[in-house]
Amino acid sequence: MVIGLAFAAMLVARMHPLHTTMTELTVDEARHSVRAVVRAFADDVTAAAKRRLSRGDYVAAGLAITDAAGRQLALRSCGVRHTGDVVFVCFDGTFDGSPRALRLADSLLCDLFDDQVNVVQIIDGGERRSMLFVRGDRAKPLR
Amino acid sequence: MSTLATFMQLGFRHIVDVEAMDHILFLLALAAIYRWRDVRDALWVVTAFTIGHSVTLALAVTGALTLPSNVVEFLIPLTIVATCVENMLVSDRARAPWSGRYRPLFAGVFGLVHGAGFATYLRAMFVDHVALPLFGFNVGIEAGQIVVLLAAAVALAICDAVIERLRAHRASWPALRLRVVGVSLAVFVIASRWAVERAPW
Repeated sequence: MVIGLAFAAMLVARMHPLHTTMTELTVDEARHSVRAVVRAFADDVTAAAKRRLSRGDYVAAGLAITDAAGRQLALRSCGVRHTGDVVFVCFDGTFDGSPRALRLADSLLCDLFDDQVNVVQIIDGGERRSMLFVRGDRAKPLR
Repeated sequence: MSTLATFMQLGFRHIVDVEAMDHILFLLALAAIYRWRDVRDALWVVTAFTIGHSVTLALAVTGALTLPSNVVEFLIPLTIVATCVENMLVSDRARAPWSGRYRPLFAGVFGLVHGAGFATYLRAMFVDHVALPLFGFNVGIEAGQIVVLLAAAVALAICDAVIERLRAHRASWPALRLRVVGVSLAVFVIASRWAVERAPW
């Protein structure tokens, strides 16, 4: 019986997958701009992007910053870089009004992995804060 | 949320994720030989594991130690297999070398391997400001381990109760031994498959 259970478990049990992205979001209140640098495992992004978009477009689609009116900021690519297993994708955007009203949602790779965890570190006026997003999370205020 | 709290949550999730069983099964294999009255021995073993993985996690994330990830990913299931084999081979711990008190030592050594696995995960994501995330991640891992071990203790107690009910009264093996061999065998089969899948050759 024990062996039977073990073989059944063997078919479904997995070793630890590493499903995380890390985004550094810098808010420049004076220039009304934001810069997001997303770090993700390249094979995860490639697997997800295969489903629909280029890797840069896929990452941009997963990161949504909205202003006080609920409008999504247009994010422009400022480069893609590879370092080992990790891909760095950079975006710039501008906003109207106060950064206090900005909200962020990070659903990167949540369509691919149930256990995806996305960490965002916000650098805002010299302060550093963090947010954590999992599948199903809604937008959260930056401040 | 503070950076510390965020990374504590990340470390906690990393351990208790039931879809990813390697660390959970290792803790289960470590705990399989203990009863409630052995809680002190169990704590020594878990503390040694914690020290081991904290050391390599810190060394690897700060760049002081670099290990190939394919080797680490292979060694992690091997530590589980080795723990299960030891569980099954040593039937009388009082007569084992050093009365079985070598377990904290090997839990510490195996912790070094698991720490390298955690580090592979963290190092890829952090270039700078690593101290606070590292500390938070480690605290989260410890909290996750406590939860997993409490769940394991309950599961093992249920296992003992079931064995007591099912086994013949004249069975030569005590319930604890049946539990240790049963749990270790099941975990051994799963971890062996992972080791074969991840063999670097």
